[in-house]
Amino acid sequence: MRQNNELVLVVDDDEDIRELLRVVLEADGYRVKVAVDGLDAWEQIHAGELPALILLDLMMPRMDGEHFLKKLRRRCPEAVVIILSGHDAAQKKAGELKAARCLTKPVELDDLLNAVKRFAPAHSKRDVA
Amino acid sequence: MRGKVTRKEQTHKRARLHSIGRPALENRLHWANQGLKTFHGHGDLLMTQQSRRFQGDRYVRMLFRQLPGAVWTTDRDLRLTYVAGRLAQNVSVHAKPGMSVFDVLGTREPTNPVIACHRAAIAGEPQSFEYEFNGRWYKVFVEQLTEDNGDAAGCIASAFDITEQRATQERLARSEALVAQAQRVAHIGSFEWDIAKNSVVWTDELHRIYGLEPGQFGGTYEAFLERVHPDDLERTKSSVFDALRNGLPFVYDHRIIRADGRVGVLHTRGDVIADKDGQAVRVAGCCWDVTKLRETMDNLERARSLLEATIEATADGLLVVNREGSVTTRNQRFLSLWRIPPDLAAENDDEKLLAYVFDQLENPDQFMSSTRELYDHPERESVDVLYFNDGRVFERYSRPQRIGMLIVGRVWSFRDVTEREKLLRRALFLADATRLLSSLDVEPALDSVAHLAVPFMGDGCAIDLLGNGQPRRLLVVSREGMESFSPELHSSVMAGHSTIYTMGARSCMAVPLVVKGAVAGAMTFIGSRMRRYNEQDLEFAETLARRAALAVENARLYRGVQEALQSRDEFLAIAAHEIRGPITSVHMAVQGLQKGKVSAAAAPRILEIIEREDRRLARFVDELLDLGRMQSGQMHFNFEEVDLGDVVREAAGTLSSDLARSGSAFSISTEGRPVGQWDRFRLEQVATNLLSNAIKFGAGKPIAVAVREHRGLTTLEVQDHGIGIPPGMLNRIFDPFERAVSVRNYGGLGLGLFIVRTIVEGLGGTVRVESKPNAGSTFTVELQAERTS
Repeated sequence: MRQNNELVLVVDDDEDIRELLRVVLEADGYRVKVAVDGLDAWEQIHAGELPALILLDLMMPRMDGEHFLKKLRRRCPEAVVIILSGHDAAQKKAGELKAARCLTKPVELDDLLNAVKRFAPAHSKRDVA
Repeated sequence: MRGKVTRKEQTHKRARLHSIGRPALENRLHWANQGLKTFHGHGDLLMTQQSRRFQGDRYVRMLFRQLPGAVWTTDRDLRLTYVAGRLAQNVSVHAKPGMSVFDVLGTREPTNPVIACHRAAIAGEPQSFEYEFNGRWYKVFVEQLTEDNGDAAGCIASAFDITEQRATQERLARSEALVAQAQRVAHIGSFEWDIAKNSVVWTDELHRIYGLEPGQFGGTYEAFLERVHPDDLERTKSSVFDALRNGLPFVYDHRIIRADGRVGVLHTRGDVIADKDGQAVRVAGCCWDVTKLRETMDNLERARSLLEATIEATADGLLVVNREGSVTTRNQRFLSLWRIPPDLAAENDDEKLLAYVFDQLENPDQFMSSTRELYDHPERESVDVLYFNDGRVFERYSRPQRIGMLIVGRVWSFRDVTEREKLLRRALFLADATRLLSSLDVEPALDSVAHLAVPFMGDGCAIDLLGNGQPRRLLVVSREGMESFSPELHSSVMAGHSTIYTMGARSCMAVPLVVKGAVAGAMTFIGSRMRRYNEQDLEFAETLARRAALAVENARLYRGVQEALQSRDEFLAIAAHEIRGPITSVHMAVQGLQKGKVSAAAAPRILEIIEREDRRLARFVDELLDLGRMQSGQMHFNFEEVDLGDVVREAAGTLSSDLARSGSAFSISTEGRPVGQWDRFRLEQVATNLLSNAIKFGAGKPIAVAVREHRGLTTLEVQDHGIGIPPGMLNRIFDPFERAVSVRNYGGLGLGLFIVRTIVEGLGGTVRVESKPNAGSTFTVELQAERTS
């Protein structure tokens, strides 16, 4: 995995989903960071670099996705965010929050990867061993 | 005598002819017969021959000439042979010797009574009759005139003027007839009792009164007593005895038994007639048949008493005023309705009564004018309603009092319809209040009702509602223009008791709003200055409070339904979210593996994720299925001997990876022999759910599980030291779809504790929780070893 690959931030309170997304995105050559909720994500972004793409769940403890994104928009209006949620109103909220895309759980892996690729093209791809 | 008498005139001549006893008649005629024999047989020769005798004859002739009537003789053919007397001189030339009786009468008709009497007399049957002639009445005697040898020579007759005597007799007869008639008409009979002879004579009418034919009465004092009513016999005897002893007039009433058995009533007046020595010799009197009068009087008395009783018994006040303005009749109810003092009532003066009641009325001027109007138009009838200052309401009816066609007064009737009016107003009020309270937005509805209740129920109304056990003053409404007051909530009303009390000079009442047996609030009413609440008012307030409480309950139920619907929607959303999580995980893991996106090194972790998420899914499905069964009451148990310690340990083993990830230290302890007849699978669910909760909400702090058995009672205690449960949620966490925390923070369907409770109760046990926020929770399940259900 090259060091300059695009950074994708996965924000989801479901540990298994965080782990799965990390595995498959890293397989596609992305650098992946994970945050357990909106607050965690906000703190990470505040402390470090702005990810090329944020995969954001909506319903999370402490700070939910909507709150996080509104906060983020005020600071980084250009941030690219794909909402990945099982919430019924996810599509509507995605529009309101100017998300680049909204993917509804359960999501097809190809759809997810294609969307990620579109908004954060990976520079290289590491073969899976 | 007058000349010719026509046939018609003859029929009008009332000649009373009847035979009289021969000896009497002979006596009466003897002197005349002898005299006439002498006169007829010897003529003037004798008179001239014997001066003494002549002198005697002269007197005889004078006697006959001036006789107040007439004397005549006839031969056998009724030719007059001698006529003398004033009547013969005065009346007619026909009545002279040589004329015949037929000439005098103007008829030869043998059936003519005078002719017939003469003929009969000649035949030897002395006759007497009364005969009207020339406007006067005569008593006529006719007898055979005999020859010396005893042969009939003709007849000799004498007539005496009895006009005056007859007139007297007729007057007497008329008088007697009148008396008799009067007695008959008046039903008055008279009697006379000759004491010495014990002879009692009754008049015809008295016979009739006793139902007897004249003459049927036995005619003695004892016969009279036999006909006296047995119940009045002693009194009758005593009245008569007293009268005889005292010699005084007497009056008494007694009943008699008539011949037909019917009872009659006689009013008797009598007097005692004494001889010159003062000895009672006769009792005379009259008896008035007052049977019908007595019946009529009795009926009248009954009618009067019935009328009086009716007037007094009626619930209405009655007043009758005559055209002169005097009270002729009124009942006690009238006096009490109008609160009229007895001395004023005794004056019977309508004007004074009107003046007295004037101030009692809400609109006295209108009352007076309508009353005057009716007195000015006596023929009118009226119905109106009178409102009193103290809240009473009367209906007033009036109509003229008539005797025949004549209006003699006015009858007034007053009916106190206060209660009816009050009930009507209350019914209307309740209808309005009920309509207002039908709103599910209960607080504005209660506000409207409070505004409706003032001033209808008082000068003020306050409503309190209980929230979280504490009363909250919802509203206070005061009468417009009155000072605002906010009564304190009475202590007894919160204990569920209605109460009337005073606050300063005001009468107050408070009633609880009871919902499902518990006090949910209270309504407090402040009376107007004049008003003192009574039990009836309190009852009415309770009725209103019941409806208000029902509205509060309905609103709560509605809110509950709304919340349940919201919970259901939330549950469905959560369920979808919770299910999408593991499906997404499994889906992506499988596709990642299929598409070579998972490195060999990551593969075991991915497979572990698949297994874990698969378990989550299975548990969701089980919980959903259990929810359906539990809510429809179709949960079944398979009872067998189960060791609860084993069950808990198995559950802990199943959750070991979750426990490990939570970071909570876990301990389990066992005391006694926790074995009982339970359902192993269901107990595993209980243990798993309680442990899952402890892991989820344990905040990584130690979790302790204790399984104890003591005298057949097995206790499972699961204790964590995590976030705890807010007090307000403690009684709800065992309900379906309830969760003490946000689903954002903690996933799950919110069914775990509901399933725990349902299973434990299904096994005959109990479950409870003790918790403090941020200090942790302890769930305790108690089960009997033996089946109890």
